[in-house]
Amino acid sequence: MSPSPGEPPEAGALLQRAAGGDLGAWGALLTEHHGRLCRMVEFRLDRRLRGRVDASDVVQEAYAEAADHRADYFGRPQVPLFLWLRGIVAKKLLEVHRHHLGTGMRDAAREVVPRPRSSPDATSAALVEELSGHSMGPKTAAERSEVKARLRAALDGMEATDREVLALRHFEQLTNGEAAAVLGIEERAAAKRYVRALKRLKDILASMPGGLTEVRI
Amino acid sequence: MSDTSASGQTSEDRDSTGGHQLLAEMADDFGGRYRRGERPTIEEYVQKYPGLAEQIRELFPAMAAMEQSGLEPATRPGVAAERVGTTVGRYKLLEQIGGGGMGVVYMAEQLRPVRRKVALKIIKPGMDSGQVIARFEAERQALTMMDHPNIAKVLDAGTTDAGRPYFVMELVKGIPITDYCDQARLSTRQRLELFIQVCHAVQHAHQKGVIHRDLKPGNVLVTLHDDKPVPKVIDFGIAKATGEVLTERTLFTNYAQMLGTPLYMSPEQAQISGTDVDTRSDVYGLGVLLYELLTGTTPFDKKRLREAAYDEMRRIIREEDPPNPSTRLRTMGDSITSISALRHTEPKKLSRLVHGELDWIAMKSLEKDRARRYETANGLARDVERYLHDEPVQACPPSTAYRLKKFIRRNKVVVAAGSAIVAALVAGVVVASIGFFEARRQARIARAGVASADRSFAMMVNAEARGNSPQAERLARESLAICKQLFGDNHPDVCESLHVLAMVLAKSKPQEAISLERQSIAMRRRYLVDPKHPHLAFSLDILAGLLVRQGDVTEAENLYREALPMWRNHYGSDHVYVANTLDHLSALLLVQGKKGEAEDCLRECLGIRRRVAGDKHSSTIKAINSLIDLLKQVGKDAEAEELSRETQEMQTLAIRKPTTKPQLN
Repeated sequence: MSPSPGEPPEAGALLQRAAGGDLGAWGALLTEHHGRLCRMVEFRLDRRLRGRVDASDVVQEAYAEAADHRADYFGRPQVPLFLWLRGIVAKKLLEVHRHHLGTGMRDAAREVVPRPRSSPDATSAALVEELSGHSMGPKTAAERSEVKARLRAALDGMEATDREVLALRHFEQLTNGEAAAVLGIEERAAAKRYVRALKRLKDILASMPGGLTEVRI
Repeated sequence: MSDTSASGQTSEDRDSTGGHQLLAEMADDFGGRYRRGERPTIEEYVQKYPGLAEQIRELFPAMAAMEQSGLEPATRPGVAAERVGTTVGRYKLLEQIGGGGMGVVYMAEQLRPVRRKVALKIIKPGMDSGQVIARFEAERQALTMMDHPNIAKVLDAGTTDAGRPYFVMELVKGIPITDYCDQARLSTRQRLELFIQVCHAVQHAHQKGVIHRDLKPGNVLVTLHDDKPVPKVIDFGIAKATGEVLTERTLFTNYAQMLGTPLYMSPEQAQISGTDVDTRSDVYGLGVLLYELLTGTTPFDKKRLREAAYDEMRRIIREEDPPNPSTRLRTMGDSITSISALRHTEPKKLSRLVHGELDWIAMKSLEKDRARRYETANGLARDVERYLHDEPVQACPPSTAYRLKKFIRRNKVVVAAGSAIVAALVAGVVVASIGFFEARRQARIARAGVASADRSFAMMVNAEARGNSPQAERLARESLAICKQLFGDNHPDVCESLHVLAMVLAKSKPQEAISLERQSIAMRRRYLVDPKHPHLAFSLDILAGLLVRQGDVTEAENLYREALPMWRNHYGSDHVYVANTLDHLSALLLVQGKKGEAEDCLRECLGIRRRVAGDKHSSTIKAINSLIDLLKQVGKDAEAEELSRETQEMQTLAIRKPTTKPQLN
């Protein structure tokens, strides 16, 4: 297996240097994870807040907090760095939702906290946004619109647990191990849940006119 | 887990737990490669895992669909890096020569149309290269217009095969200006001369419509041309092309590497929007550079900015005023020893040198409100030049103190010229005698002028520092020494210098001050040309004040009594000096139990205050309150009552008046 996106080959050395207080290494690690953390926020951020809250601002705030607790983390790392950072980002995201939308949004925000009890609408709404291509140029969006429209419809018809695992794996780009940790289940169970969800997605897509024929691989 | 598949029985049988796991891992691999821009085929995986062929063929299309939909070019991580030896566009990468927050810099060889070495900067992944290039193209015209010996030209821009933007620049084999200055142990003056060249370069760019936006030592490199240091500003146009990235995304993306940037970031760039930037932002950047050249530190503490949360960091940049460079030097502790050594001077000399004009110039460049900064880089350069030529700088409001100081400086040059002539004479050089005497006369006048200016300036500095200024002491002592040298021990100017030095030392060295003032008084009594002139009164007043603080009430009382008629003679009876002296005198009398006399003095004092300053003035109210206390002590309660009603009324008025706003009824 090639290394997962979160763990480049030099990650071990970087982690060691960062743990020793090397800020350059710390910065490099954050750079590695930045893309996925931004995706997570972009994906999870309530659509009403888009334009008001910038995903990178949320991530940056999380970095600031992470910097404050860096020593604690390296003193006793209990989860991989990415998941630790994701947890902090999730907390920040929750704060952002609370701040802007009040307590009424708690259910949706809770969705992003590790070990969530998924509320059905949250992932669904986020997926709709993701698929509507809010952050892509018009041309790119047009090219993908066909597959997207079908995907959107397919995901809409799925159960929340299935949607969530697919979102974690593909929109947030988590590895199976990371998804397992976020969902609070074992890797085997996560693998099973993912494969099952994928199968259901395929079935739904296959039943649609056009099916998956336009997906080029 | 009670996770059971709801799909058909047959597939459920085949899907052993191991199968799920393997498929999930394949998905990891597939996703990773897909996101790196690869397009792996389904058959690759089928060949590798023939046992799972059916499921791979079944599931991978859905996987790919998900990936395709979720893929965003802007945040795609981990694009393969370019390496030394490979070719980027027309350029062959020879050697990595730097790596900063924004990317990696290579020395590269341009192959066509001409063979030459260039610097090639590849921007880190994480930004949309299309946008970066588009912005660069928008500015390319302006960039090509720049032609200045202190600017490294930006030659080209493009996108690498991996999709990362790159810039090609004139290759500058230099080191950051601050490093160079320290390595070469340049004096402050030499540093300022280099700095002026940097300002001119930035001005040139501004005239061509290009703003740098990221001025910092790392972007101002010094190279040697025939052993002469030449500063070169690099990266013009690049900060703009990479745009908001600097102020927003990259700031924390490359957290530690980007540390350089917030330190040099102007307040307007630290705004959330961070886009309203003009030439004055570069003036700010130059101000930070100047600050660093002077003090070896940036205006804001590196460690503090690094540890501050993002918003706090922005707040500091936008709101906090850094200390004056000279204050920074004086308060930095032991580091000043090495910092001054790098500037060929001593700690005290360095902070003295920076104190004043250089403080003002740096602080004017660093104003939060850009309207208060120098309008142009040239304006800043000109002021530094003025400083170097001992001309008045613009940075300071032209106060008297400031002009006097300049006057002193200029006259010192005259003094030095005079001394040189004397030295030449002594050495036996023949000089026309008229020239010599004229020169000596002028030198004397100049030196007397210096002494007088020193005195005035010492007093102002002393007042500013609230009686605790080593600088004032130095000036006053210098003035005394010059006067004694020029005029001998007995001269009105010597008296004046003694008096000024006594005032300056009143707080820090009261005993010496008393002795000096006594000398001054003794001389004034002997040499006073005009006995009515209040010079003596001033000296008496100061000595009395010093004695009161020492507890010598009787002598102080006598001195005030002696001064009183002098004030009256010179300024008239209704004068604030008379009132002040009466006020002091009454206090002294009261302490000695002479209540009747004290009351008389206070009443007279109050009368003057009412007439001079008005009933509502704070000094008048203070006098009334003193009188009330006194009246109560001597049993005149009714009058005390009446006065206190009056003051209460006035105090309420005084309080109410400025704060009361018109009511909208």
